[in-house]
Amino acid sequence: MAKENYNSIYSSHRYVFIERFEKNLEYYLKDQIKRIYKLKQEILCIVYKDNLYDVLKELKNNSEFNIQSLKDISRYKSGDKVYVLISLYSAVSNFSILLKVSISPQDLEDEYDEIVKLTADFYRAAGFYRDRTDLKLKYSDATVFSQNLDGMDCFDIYLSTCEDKIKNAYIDTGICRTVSDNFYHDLNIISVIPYISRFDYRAGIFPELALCTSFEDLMQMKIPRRSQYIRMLLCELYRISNHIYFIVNISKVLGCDVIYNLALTEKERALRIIEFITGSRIVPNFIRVGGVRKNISEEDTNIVISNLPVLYKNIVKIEKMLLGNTVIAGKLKDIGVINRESALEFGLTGPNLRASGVRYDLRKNRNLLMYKKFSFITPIGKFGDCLSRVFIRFQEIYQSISIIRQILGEMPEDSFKRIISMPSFEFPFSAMTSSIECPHGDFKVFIEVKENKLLSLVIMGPSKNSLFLSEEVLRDNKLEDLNLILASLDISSGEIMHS
Amino acid sequence: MSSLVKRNLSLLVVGFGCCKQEIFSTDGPLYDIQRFGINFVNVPEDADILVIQGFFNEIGEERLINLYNRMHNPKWAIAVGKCVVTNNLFCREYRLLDRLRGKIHIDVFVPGCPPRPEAFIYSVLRLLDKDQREEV
Repeated sequence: MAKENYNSIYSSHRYVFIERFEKNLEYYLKDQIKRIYKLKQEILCIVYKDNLYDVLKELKNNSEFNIQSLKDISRYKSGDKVYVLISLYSAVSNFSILLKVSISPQDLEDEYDEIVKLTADFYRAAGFYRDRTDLKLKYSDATVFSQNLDGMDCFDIYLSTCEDKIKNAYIDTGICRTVSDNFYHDLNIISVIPYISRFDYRAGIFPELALCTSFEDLMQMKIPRRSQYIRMLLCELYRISNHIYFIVNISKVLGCDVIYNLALTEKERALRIIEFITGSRIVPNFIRVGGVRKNISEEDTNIVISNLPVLYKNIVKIEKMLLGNTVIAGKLKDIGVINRESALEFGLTGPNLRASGVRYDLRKNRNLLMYKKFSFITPIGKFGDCLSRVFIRFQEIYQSISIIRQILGEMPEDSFKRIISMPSFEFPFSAMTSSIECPHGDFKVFIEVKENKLLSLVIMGPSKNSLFLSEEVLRDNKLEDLNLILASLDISSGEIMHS
Repeated sequence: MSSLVKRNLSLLVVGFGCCKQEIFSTDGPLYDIQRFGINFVNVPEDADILVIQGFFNEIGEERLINLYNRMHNPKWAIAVGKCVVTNNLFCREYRLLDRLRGKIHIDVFVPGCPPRPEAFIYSVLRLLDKDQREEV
């Protein structure tokens, strides 16, 4: 009873906080902001282009808001108009805000550049969104083309070097401009779900979940408890598989063949459990609006229960082999250091941010799924180097295993899906956003819907921030550590794909 | 296919996408593609088979043709995944194989989105068998 009371107070506390924030916005920026929408746990502001400078200045400098991090700047089409969406968040005050600015389609490039320049005055990370092709010629001492290794195959790096040290780096993501603006225009809302899971193919359930929860929030739908539990189970299984894949990549770069093979076996074990439940390994197509596609049987839970101790035992063994070896730990230590300030400035989220000493986890900070019911620790690192990033991943695997144990112990007997007919829904023009704590960080989706069609879909993956930050991190490091630093940032190629 | 190449095949995987994860999982002890003498390499001059997979645009396509030209004869090519075999998932107008016609000869097509690791191993083994039959 006490626990239920606490939860109800806790969740309502968050809404009170958002309302207070909204009132502050109205008070300070009444003339500058055209309109404010409350999108569940975030706020969308429609801003005139001329007033953008004042708005950004107030958001950055006013202690009431204190928004220090830029997550993403994206450009999208909605009908005949073109908009720029600026996503900002503050890990300290646990809040995020979206600024929507309209630009004219005739003068598209110039106006976009102007907005990026304005944003770069307050947020240094915005500089990465402008046209920087001049740097390609400037830094041309050494060029590293997209490599065979997964996660480093979607960008080229142009370097200026001094002997074996990197002085400056420029990352060119031209090779992954493979998405057309309107791939979702002639699709039903349900048909977009399997497409979107390719945007993070290392952990395919998270984009699906982000899209479906945004629709559920839009419809203010209450989800059955059992389906929430199944969703959490799969999220944690995918988190484990992704983190093991991270270890595979790290051991491949370090040249530890034994650990590479052991970790690949464990990754297959995690993927086989997922395949047994969903029927697919990489792209599950499992989450539906209002629940999940399929109920999990007793046989499924038995498979998970029987495999978990083996998985745990083997991961402990791999950790001992990798981090217990002083030579390997020495290679990882003090390399690619990201300090707390730059991590926040560049909008880093997820394990990479936590390795730098910031305790920010959407599972705990937001009212995400039903994670509040379970006891687990958010591990944080201290030094922000490669070693802490590897260490954090191991700790998160243990936490995920403990969450899965709790989920299976408390699985409620309930329906697994709210039966709704999505094609019969006719939405008025509305916008919604939702964020999910995916293994790489905060995966955000912004949608605009009208009638039964998806007007616009903006995907803001966390790997983009890690990639942009890597330009800063690579500076003053040795050329031989380049692969290791990039592998330790856990960049998922799918998230970087853009139009 | 001469016995020397047949017992020591080298694969070069190009592109990025979901199929890559499945292709590299064959390198592990569970699927163990190395038991057939098949290895993954990074240098096109060392490679016998070019594995084309994932999402491509004009820049990637140009790079792909360059890599294929750098490979020594005899050389083969395998197209893996829906994005290569039919059209790009997120850009339906972009059909890679139509654009590569006349420049790269594809020997085996592996459909699936993404294909399973077993399907990829089977495709490489089929390529070995196919060449053996042609020699006979």
